[in-house]
Amino acid sequence: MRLVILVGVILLAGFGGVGCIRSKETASNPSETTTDKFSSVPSQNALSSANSIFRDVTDSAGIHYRWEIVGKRPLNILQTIGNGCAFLDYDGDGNLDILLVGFKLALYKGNGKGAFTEVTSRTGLDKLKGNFHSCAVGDIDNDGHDDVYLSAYRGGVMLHNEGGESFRDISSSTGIPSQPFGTTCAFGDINGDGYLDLFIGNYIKFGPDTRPQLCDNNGVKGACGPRFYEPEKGTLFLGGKGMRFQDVTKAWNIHLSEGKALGSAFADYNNSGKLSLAIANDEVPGDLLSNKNGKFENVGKSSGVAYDDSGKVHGGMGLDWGDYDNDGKLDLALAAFATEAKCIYRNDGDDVFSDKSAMLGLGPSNPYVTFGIKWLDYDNDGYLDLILCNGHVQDNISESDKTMTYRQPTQLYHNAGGGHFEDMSVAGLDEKSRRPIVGRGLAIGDYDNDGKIDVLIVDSEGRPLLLHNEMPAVSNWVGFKLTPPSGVARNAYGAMISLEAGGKKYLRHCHADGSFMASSDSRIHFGLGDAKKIDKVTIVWLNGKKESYSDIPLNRYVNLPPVKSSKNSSSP
Amino acid sequence: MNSFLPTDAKSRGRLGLLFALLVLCGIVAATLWANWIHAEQELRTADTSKLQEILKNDPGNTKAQLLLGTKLEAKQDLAGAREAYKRAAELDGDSESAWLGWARVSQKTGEIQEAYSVLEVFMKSHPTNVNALLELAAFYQDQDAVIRAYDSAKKATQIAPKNVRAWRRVATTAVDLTLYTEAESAIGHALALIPDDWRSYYVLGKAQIGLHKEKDALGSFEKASQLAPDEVSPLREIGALQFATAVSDEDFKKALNTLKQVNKSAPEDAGITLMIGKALLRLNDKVGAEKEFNETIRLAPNEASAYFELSRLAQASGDSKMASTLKARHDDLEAYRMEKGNLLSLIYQDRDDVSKSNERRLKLARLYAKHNDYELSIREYKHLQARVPGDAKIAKELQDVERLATTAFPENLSVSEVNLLAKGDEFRSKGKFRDAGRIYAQVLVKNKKSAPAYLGLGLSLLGNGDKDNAFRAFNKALEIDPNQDAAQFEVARLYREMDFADEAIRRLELLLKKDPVNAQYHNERGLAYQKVEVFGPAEESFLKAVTVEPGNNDFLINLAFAQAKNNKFAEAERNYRAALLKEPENGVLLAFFGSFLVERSQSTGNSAMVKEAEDILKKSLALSPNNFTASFGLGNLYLNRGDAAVALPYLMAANRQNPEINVVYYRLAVAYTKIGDKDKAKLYRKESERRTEYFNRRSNTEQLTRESPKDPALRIKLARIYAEGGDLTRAINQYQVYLTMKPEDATARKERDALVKKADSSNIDIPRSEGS
Repeated sequence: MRLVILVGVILLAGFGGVGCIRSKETASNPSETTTDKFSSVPSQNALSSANSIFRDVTDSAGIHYRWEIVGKRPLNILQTIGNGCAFLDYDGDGNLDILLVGFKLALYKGNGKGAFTEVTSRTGLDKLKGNFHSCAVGDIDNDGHDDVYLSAYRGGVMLHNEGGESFRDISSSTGIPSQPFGTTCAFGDINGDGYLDLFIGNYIKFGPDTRPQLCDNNGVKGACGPRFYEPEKGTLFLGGKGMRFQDVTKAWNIHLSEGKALGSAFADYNNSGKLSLAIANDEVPGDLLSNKNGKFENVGKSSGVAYDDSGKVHGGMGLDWGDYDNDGKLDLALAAFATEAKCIYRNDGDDVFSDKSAMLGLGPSNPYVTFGIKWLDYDNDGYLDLILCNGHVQDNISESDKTMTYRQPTQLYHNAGGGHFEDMSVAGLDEKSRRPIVGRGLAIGDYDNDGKIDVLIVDSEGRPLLLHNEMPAVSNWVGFKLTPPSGVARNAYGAMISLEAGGKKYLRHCHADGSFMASSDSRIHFGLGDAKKIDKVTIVWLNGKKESYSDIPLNRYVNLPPVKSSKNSSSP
Repeated sequence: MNSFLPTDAKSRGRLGLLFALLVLCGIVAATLWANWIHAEQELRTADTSKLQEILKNDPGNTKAQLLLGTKLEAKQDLAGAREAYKRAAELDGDSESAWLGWARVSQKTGEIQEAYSVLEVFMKSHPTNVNALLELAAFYQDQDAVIRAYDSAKKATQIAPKNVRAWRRVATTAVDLTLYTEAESAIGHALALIPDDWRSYYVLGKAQIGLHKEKDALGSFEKASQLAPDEVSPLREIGALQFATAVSDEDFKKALNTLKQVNKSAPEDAGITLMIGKALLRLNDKVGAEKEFNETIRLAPNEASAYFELSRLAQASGDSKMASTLKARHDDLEAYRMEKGNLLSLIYQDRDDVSKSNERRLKLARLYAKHNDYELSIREYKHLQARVPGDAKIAKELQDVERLATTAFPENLSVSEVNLLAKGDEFRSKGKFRDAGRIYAQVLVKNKKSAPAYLGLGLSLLGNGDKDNAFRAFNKALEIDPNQDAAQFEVARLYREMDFADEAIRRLELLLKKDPVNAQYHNERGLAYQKVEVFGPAEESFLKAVTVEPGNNDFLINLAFAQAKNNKFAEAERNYRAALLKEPENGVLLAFFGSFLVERSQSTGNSAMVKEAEDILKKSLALSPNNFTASFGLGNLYLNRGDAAVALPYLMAANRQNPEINVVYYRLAVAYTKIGDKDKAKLYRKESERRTEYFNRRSNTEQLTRESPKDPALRIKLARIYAEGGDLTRAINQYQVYLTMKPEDATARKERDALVKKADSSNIDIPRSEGS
């Protein structure tokens, strides 16, 4: 069987498969948007050897990294927290690179064709040491190169990208102090001044002298839950010229949030033209910080996202914004603890959300502890699907609860038309991809630029999982890389993009944040199903400016605004 | 033809030299090999003194040390064997035989701690050594640490799935844990590997007994007996099984024959003589039976059943006095058995707490001595001596026990007290709880130490709905007599109701250890697990309850509920429907099933299911209009369907029917939000949040207090939280604990006194222990 496939690949390569050519060109010249080379029949993955949609290709991609949890067993809460990862384009070559966050960092440069080369020491990242947890990616000085903030336990580092060549630790000059227990972090321009601002979540008050370190779980000593510890609140910093950040935690009411944050994501969920912030908190109510009158107002409880549909708090881990039912409003997915609903809060408008998880098939029956969670249209059918990575926090959980395991499999859910999610974990993930892991960070991105979203997952006690999307290419798609107008932060985070095609309307937003301790591909991806033509694309930038485009080619990444295309610009 | 040999003289010379060298090497090798063989033979055939002589000259000879250990062990010189194995192990850290021999012999000589340490050390460096794992499993099983034994055996099967011993050990430990299905399956593996092993059939029979497959069990024991006709244990089980299942005289005769056959091979087996006695009694041979019962007592002076049978014989022959004495002896021995079981279980539980464990061992040693089990008592004292070397008190008591040889009979209950208790029980059985309570109180006036009276009083108070005082009464009964199982069960139930599920589970585990096939205990344990939302063990418990009592619909409903929580929706639905077949008009059951269908329909999107749920819930409400579950289920059904206005009256009704349930407040907030009534939505949401906040604060503080029980700040915090929630009993209890830590805190004392006054104003006065 393998031989037959190999022969097929060789034959196709010989005939110059269009998909391969397109991929190569996209990789070498990402800004090119001319349509003459466009083909609507991408076929390279029709040759996929397995029936699964995702295949773990970590080894063959050249990624050789391993996370280890140092220290004594059983693990305490600090040891269980896990790490993050990112898909980013640090050198601006149009191809996604991979950043792996842990006690030691690793940066892999992608070639856009599926191969990665380690550049950790070349970029100076090998010199950084710390108990790093998470990362946020964004261009803090709008110099065209994405910078990185690394959150850490008793630390935190801001890394300036030196022209796509290396990173320089500028922490001491940014004005961002060391954080007590930094977890999630996210960039977003909350005051619309054209500079990225930074939210850093903190978890709990915990140190080597904190008691208890371990708790009794059915007679077995293991990590205590967060309820045993006092919350540590998040912090907020406004970015500005000269890469200086100003602490606005109190001014923006972040100090009134609940603390114990593990996930965060900015979005203009209420079409206010301003970025609001959702925070997933562990076993305390979740926060939804609505951006109103120059500060945040916490509408978590009144909107319904603070609790599940029974009014219970949950162990909020990662979260992500996305319009799963294509009703033009961003909904919120939230990862939670075992036997808690992985909540999908449908945005009903007017600052009201309904927990639809049970109705959608993601109710409390899910036995896994979910950390990473991300919306992605893996099959390009126009509906956002979900991927979840799982792993328990107690390394000895099976001793105290025979029904639970420490390592848990990744889950994939297919969005069946916005009304129900089907569990595709077995059919959709090859055996290696769904092997039980201590899943934590999860990022998505199209690292081989084939229009199919790939996935990167952290196994806190193992190797990363790079899941290549090998869905047969039966649906059309389009991807956008945004270049915002002047006055808008270069990454264009928060821009809302609506697309009309085949009589349907889709809404996506530009973001890299969300999930758990991860940063994802910030290009905007639309699966278009069987739509043969894009009728219109409208972007609403964070400064309120609206731009519309037509004649957009299918099945490729397009720069918006393009160099040459019809353009109608208007102010709201 | 070409020759391979060189033709020139020089080459031939070289070849000759090479040949000679080869021959020489061969001779040297042969000599060395012969010497080695000789030395090996000499070692193997050497007797212990020869081996000791060898070791004098060559103390580092590991093989000789090991052989010495083996030979001394065979000669029952356990102390010598232990030393030899120890030395061999010290010489060779990887010698499995040496290490395991050392552990085995240490265990045989009562050096339990040493045996365990030896195994632990060896396992650390050889974590996948199957024989060591099995030795460890055997060790644990011998020490009644059956769960650990089971886990070790299970690990051995994972490492060596073709190891019959491992599978058999899994099976025997599973039998001990009453996991009979698992045992049956494990022994299936063993039999698949070696089909004709009598030991496997023997264990299979044991598992089948647990599964109530008596016929199959008999077949297995018979097969085991055929395979090993000289082994007495399968035959013993055949006899016991024949006796246990005997109905007709013919059956008893058959059993008697087998038991007598066993008795010939094992004349010192008290269990067999007891069964022979009982069989003879059944066949009306009273003289023969009496002889066997007396023989049983000779063999096992603490065998309570023999006293019981003898008391019946005495009663039948008109000798009431003797009957009463014998019955008293029986009761005493039963109590002893229970207390012993309790202590053993506590010792196991406190195994990591050396001081507690020693304290309990001392109690056990004394208990054994009190009941003339001197051998066991001495063993316990020796254990203690090893743990607390140089303790003069232990040494003295050990000496005393070694001298002791008397028998003591306990005092009997006075007749009038017994009659009063019977009268109280009679009132209680008729539902006259107040009258019953008065009678039990009379008993307590006569005898403050009457545990049965406290039990009866507790049950009467419970019947009257006074849980707080019932709880005190049950605890008092247990304080006087820890073997009051009925009191223990009620206390467990009350703990569960008071949200102390872990304590409830702990007590139920104790009860289940004594009576593993008690369906009520299993069911109650399931409810306790359910209370803390641990649905895996809850389902297991309910399943056991249903297995023991398949006709009990309540158990079946509980099982269905837990299965639904464990995502076993098909099984849950099947069980709900089976329960409904038995009780189609049970409003509560209809409400549960209807609510289950509401939840299911949400995730399946099955509209027919929604309709069925709606019909069932409406029927449930028609049958029992104040049914909270049905009202809430219908409210949710309509809310999920988007009919918030229709949902509201049902949710309001649910809120009236059970205002303590927090989720209803939240769902009401959601419903009001949907219909656009923001004010009411806010009102209900605030109430939900207030309750959630209180619950979380209480629960967090409880957990923290459990982790740091000696922290006065947490104790007073918890006391005030309970007081805030109106939970007076628990609040007072926490104040008491706090005040023992901080007696100088006048404010806390004042707060406590106010609560006590409040509590006392509504309580029936029952005797309390000081400081309770």
